[in-house]
Amino acid sequence: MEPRPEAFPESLPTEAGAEVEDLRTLGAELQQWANEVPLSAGFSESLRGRMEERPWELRIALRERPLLRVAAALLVISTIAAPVSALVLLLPGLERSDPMIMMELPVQVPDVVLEEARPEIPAIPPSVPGFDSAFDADWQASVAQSNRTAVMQAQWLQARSDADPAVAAPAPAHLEWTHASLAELVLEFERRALLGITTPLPGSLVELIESILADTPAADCPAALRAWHWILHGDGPPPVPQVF
Amino acid sequence: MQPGPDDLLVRFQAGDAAAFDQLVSEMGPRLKGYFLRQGAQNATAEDLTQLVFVRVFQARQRYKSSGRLDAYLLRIAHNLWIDSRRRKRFLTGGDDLPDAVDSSPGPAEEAVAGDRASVLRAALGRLPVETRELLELAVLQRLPYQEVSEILDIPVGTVKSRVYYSLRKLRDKLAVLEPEADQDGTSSGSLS
Repeated sequence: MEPRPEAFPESLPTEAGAEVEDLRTLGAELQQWANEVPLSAGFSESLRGRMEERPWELRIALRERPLLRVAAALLVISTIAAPVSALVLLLPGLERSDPMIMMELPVQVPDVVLEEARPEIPAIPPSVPGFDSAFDADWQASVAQSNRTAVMQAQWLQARSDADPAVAAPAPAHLEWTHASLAELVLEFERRALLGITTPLPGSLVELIESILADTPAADCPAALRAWHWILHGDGPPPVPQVF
Repeated sequence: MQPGPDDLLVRFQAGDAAAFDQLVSEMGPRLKGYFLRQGAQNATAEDLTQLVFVRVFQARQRYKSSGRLDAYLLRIAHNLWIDSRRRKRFLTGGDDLPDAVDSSPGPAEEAVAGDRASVLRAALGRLPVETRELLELAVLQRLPYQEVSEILDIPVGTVKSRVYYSLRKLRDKLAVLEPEADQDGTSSGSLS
């Protein structure tokens, strides 16, 4: 026996007492008030017309509309294509050949041109409208001097490959070089070479180098000072064989 | 409307064409009343009522009499009403506007008019949509709580308790609306 289906108003909470009666009356009044609303005169006729309309069905639409068929075919193909191609690639029978990466080593050794002297690298000023004065002859001389410093430092580093970089002091030994000794000048060259400093020398250092070079015969002059002489004046091509 | 031999749709499946006409004439006014009380305009209510019957007609081969036929129809009506509101919200950009310009008096105006039915309609109109629908199905349409629970997709126990609280809420609304109607001097009847 099926249980009796519960419905309003039997199942209102009994503990609520008098209020339940109140609500039952309200519910009954609502039920009495909710009269059925008459349908319009043409309701049945209109309903019959709508029922006779054929409902939309995919099968029928596909049969009648070629564009829909094309769209459906594209959808099916694009949906199936990816998994099918992935499956085909996974088949064990299909041997895949990994692409081989080939490269040919150059067999021709480039000609080494041995020259008497290194070529002079000209300093070409950039063309910046409005800043032409910033790249005048002084600028070019300064760049040429830096280049020569780099050449000499490269020679020194090549000759002194065992030089300990730790000996290079992080700051200049002197701010004023007027009373520096010959040994200090040599040490300063090495320090600059180790740190790769190619900036122009301070004025007092240049004066001291020039005065020592003027007073000392070339044969007795330390290599560092001869290098500096070439750096400062750039007489001719870089000295080959090496100064150091 | 009980299941079994008296189920009009079963008779219609068996070839009794007149059973469907009887179904329309019996359930049509109830369904229209349902839609109207949910807030639909007259034309929309008739349109949705027709749609209910069209859906029933289209699904007639799949129908199996497993419950009350009126619950089956009201379930379709409930779904159609939800779809209709959703479509309207989409078209109006989120505003739950009425179907068309409504020339009938609104809930407040009806309450002031003083007629008891108008006061009830106004009080129902002021309830939240969910509460209104619960009262509609469980009280006005007199469906068993089990059917209401399945239509609204809430437990039977919840239906019971909500009916109780919804009636209390409606009574409170009426208590607010009735003095307004009394002031207008046209009120009649009482609640308890």
